[in-house]
Amino acid sequence: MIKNLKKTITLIATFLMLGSLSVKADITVAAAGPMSGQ
Amino acid sequence: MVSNASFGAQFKAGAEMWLKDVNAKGGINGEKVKLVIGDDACDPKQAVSVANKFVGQGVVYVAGHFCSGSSIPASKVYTEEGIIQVSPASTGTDYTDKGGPNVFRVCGRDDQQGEVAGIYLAKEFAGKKVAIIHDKTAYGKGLADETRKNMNKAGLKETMYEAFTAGEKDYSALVSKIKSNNIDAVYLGGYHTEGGLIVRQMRDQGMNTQLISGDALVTSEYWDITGKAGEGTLMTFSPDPRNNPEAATQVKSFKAAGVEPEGYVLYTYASLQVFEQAATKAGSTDYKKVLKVIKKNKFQTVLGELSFDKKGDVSLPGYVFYEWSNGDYKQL
Repeated sequence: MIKNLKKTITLIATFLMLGSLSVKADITVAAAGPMSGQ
Repeated sequence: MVSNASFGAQFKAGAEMWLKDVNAKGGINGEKVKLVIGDDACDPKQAVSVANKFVGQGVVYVAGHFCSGSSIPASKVYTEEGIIQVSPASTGTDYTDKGGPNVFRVCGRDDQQGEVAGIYLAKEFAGKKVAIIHDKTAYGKGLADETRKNMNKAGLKETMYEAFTAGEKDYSALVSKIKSNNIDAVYLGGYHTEGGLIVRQMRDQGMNTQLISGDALVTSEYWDITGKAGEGTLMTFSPDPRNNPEAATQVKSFKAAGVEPEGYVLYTYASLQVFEQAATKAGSTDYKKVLKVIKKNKFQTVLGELSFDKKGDVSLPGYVFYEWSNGDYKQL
């Protein structure tokens, strides 16, 4: 029972790790200035 | 609408073209790049709000702001939060003189611009009457004072030194004072809206007084305000980046997209190229890693090869004179 639980946890952890490797966050940059009237 | 928004439009056009180009190449280090645009309306308080909003949005790099009066207070937020700021256009000396380690610019400084203008005035208007006027902003007053200092040093004392309030429509009282003092040349530290109105109102009063100003006239909107009254206006700006061989591809792309890459369009593009190359070299967008690369390396941009000194000022050449004629500005 404990052995199966450990296997399941390892499996979930592996999926989560693979997921974080394949889905990278975007880089956000900005431009700022007077876009409207004064 | 007549305002500094034409400069915001230049920033937006430059940033959007860079975004399209960088993502077409696969982004940076395999990551897609997102762009957010902030409107500070050239207002110092709004600039701080925009900077705080960027913090919440997870921005790692800012190409901005335009007005020195906005760039300076916003830079305090960026310094505290570890965001790199490279202004395409803020020329005020305090921006880098008093800025944090994260503060840079790809444009020149007002002490360089004021030196070129001051020496020109002293030489071309020797023995004549010159007025120095400014709009009380960090940029306008700073530039006017640098010009006055250099003109005085070169041997010419101004006949008039006046401040005016930006955002008004009627400058006839100031123009009448210029007229009654028989001024030959007015040097204006300020933006194109007021510069345009003042030159128009001088011509309306039958005056042929020469108007000279700085890089804040570098927008086609100046001519929209002045019409023929703007003929012969002189201004200082960096050598036109549209003529750089390094910018040929981008100039073609901008024109194909219906955007004239005038003024600070290519400066904004170059600011973001610095980030692109630095983050690529660092292999990361981590603040400290990117900052280290920016401080120690040269970058290939549409403005040419550039690097930064210890204060964050750029290595590019200084200022030259341009003349407005028939709706366009040409280098003298």
